Amino acid sequence: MRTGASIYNPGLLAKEQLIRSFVVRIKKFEKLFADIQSANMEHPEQPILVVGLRGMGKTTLLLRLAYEVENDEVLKEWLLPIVFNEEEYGITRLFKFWETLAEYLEQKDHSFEGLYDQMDKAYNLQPDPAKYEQAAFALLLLALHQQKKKLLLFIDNFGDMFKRFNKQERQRLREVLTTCPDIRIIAGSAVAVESFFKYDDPLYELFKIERLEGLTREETEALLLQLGENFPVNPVKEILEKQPQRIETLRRLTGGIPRTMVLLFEIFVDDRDGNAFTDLENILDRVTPLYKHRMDDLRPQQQEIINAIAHNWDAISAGEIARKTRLESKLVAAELQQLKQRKIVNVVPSGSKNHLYQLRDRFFNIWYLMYHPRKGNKEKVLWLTQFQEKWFQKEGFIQKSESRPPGNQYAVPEESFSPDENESVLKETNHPYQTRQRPEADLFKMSKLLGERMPMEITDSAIAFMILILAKEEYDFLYDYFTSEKGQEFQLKDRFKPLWYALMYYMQGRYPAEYLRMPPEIRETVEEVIARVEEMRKDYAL
Amino acid sequence: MRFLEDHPRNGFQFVYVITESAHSSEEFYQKLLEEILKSPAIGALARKKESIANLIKGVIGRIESLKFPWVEVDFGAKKPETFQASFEKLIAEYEKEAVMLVLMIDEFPQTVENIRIAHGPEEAIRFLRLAREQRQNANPAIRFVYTGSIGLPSVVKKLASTSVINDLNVIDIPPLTSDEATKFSKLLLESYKVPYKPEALDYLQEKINWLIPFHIQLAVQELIDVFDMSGQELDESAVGQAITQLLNVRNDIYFKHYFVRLKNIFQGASYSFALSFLNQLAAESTMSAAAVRELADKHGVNDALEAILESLEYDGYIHFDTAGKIYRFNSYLLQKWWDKKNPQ
Repeated sequence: MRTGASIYNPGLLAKEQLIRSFVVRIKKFEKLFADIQSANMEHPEQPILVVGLRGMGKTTLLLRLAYEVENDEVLKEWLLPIVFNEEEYGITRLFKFWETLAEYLEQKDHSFEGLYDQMDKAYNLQPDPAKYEQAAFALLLLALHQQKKKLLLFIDNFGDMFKRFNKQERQRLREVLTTCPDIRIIAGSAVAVESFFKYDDPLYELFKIERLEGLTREETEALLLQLGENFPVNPVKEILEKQPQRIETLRRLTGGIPRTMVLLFEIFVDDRDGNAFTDLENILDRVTPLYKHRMDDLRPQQQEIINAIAHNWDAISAGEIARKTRLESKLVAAELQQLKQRKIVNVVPSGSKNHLYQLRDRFFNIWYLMYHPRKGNKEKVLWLTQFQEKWFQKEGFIQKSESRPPGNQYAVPEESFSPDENESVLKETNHPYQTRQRPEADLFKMSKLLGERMPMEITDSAIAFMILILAKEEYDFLYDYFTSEKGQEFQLKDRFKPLWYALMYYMQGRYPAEYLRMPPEIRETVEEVIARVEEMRKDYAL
Repeated sequence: MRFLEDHPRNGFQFVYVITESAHSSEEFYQKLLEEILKSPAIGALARKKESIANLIKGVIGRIESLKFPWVEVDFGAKKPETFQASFEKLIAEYEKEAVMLVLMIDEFPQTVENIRIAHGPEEAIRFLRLAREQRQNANPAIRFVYTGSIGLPSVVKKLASTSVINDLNVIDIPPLTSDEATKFSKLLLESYKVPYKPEALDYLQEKINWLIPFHIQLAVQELIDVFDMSGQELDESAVGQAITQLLNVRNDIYFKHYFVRLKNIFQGASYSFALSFLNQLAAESTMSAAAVRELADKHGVNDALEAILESLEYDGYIHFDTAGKIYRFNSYLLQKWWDKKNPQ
């Protein structure tokens, strides 16, 4: 079983253990391995950069590929995979890169013994860095040619290493990568390539980018089931059978980051009877030291700005931040620029000068809302988990979506929204979820009937009601409902956040910036709501 | 260039050399010689001419003394000659009747820029003049091809009159034809075993419009991702999805440099006009010559208008459709990205 340490450092897992536990990212792995397998490296091969947030599984994927090369009968004859440590603080110059490589080669294959000493000797005779670098590289190539081997280098956190090289070294590295058929790099990076290559940097555009997105529902389930295999009774099986919504809700809130999913597994083992919200609280406890450290690293004014962005949850403009923090607009703009460069804040282009800002690490935002509660903040997260659980909880969702065509894969079957027995409001309107016929009652009648009994709590029927309104294109009606005095008092926008953003999707013509404010963690649910609305329009010819 | 090198026509030998990391004239000539000496044409020549054989021995000795400092190299009593001098001798002594030796020098403009930064503009001008002299003095059986990701004329303009490069013929590399683009896309998709409907490729071309290999590669890469997610044979809707993904913020890297570069090309009013023009063109897809003049008038850049438009055309942003007398973005993808970003 994984230990806490191996969650953060997959390199600590034994080779066979890592191969056995590699149950997600299969397609990406197969694609990359097919690329490696088909490249005979007679000509220089394009380097690859695997980009994904921290914890997305880059290191595991790189290790898995390296192991596969080692295990491949054909490849292992001529291709040596070398996996660099995750942090290579010693590599500050290009010649140190060749030296480190020589050390790895010596460890890996005895026929390279003495290579580092040769380089050392060359340095004593030729200490000029640029000339020594050429010498070290020439020695490396000579050794490779003598042994008839080529190298596949797996380098995680490539940007950290690369940014320490000076411009001439970067140019030289590009020359090597574009002309030398003996070395290929498969690199990993937690930040997008533009954050360490400027547009005029030599390596800009050289890498083929492969992105690791959050895990899908199927991948998450596969990962959790695999983790549970070491238990006499797999605890995940039970949860998947009885409370699949618990997993799906958390997957969406955490962005499907595999490392967080492993934490989730540990929580499932400890607390089999919990719900999505208690699971979330448990996960947040474990990431608190990391996030607290992140906040402490910021300057006071940056902390204020992050505080304002995080509390708002939805993307927010610089002007709005200035109003909330009482800081000068110019200062806010300058700090935002820095926070953007440090990859703490993302910019959402709005098509005008007033761009919107949100925290880049979405789970950090959730953590902030929960751990720095202002009035109602925690409830906002609670409501979202409740909404998501309602949305997924019908067993039909999980099963039926498997067999749906791709366009409709997230559509929720009608059964999911049959009204609660205790709620009569929608029954009185003879709404289409029960009858599957065109509704006789028009909205006017419905709203009159609803009157003071407008749904304010997150229930199946409340969701169904709002979806019907959207399907009937009565956007103003729903907008008034959300923004009315009572709607504001009950914080309907927060209670039914995915529905509010589905409404904003349809009202983009009138409120173009509003839909852009949507937090990415609810995007999938909002898209499902929209798909459901469209489906309903077709089904009932609304 | 790599293809030419691997598949030379009869009577030709091609030598590809990238000189991007050369920051001095001597580093440049060292790189050039290292690659030239690998050419079979030079080997054949050395067997015939003792002077060439001696020259090669001397150059190799110098390179080895740099790369393998413990190797004892005997230069005799003489001080070894510079790489530049060796190169000049070599191209002067090359035989007229020998195969045509084509030197393809990649990232040459970057080398000029490196020398300017490291040793000052005078040295960069000297280097350019030297290269011109060498071209003129070289044996007719030696040809020079220069390429680079930054334009040589714009680098040279910063330093001296463009007369130092006016002996060079400019060869335009046009976008792929529709047939070429189809072949290229098929090759890429098939190598990843991605199934597609033939009409999807037609639609892809219609969308990309400006069929440069890099944009085709980007779009196909997104198509492969779409297939990975859906597992469905690629059709027109998959192409639509791939194009949307391509214009996503995560792909800014591929387009943003067009925007950032503007600041290097233009200053002051010319910059603000160029930006407004491209913003408007991105939003409206086409602009008449009259509308462009009107916009230039607003920015007070009428006198410079022709030069600005020429520069934008030369750098691949736009073209003038003479039939319709309208301006358009060359690339649909860049236009859409620009419109979405509306960079300020």
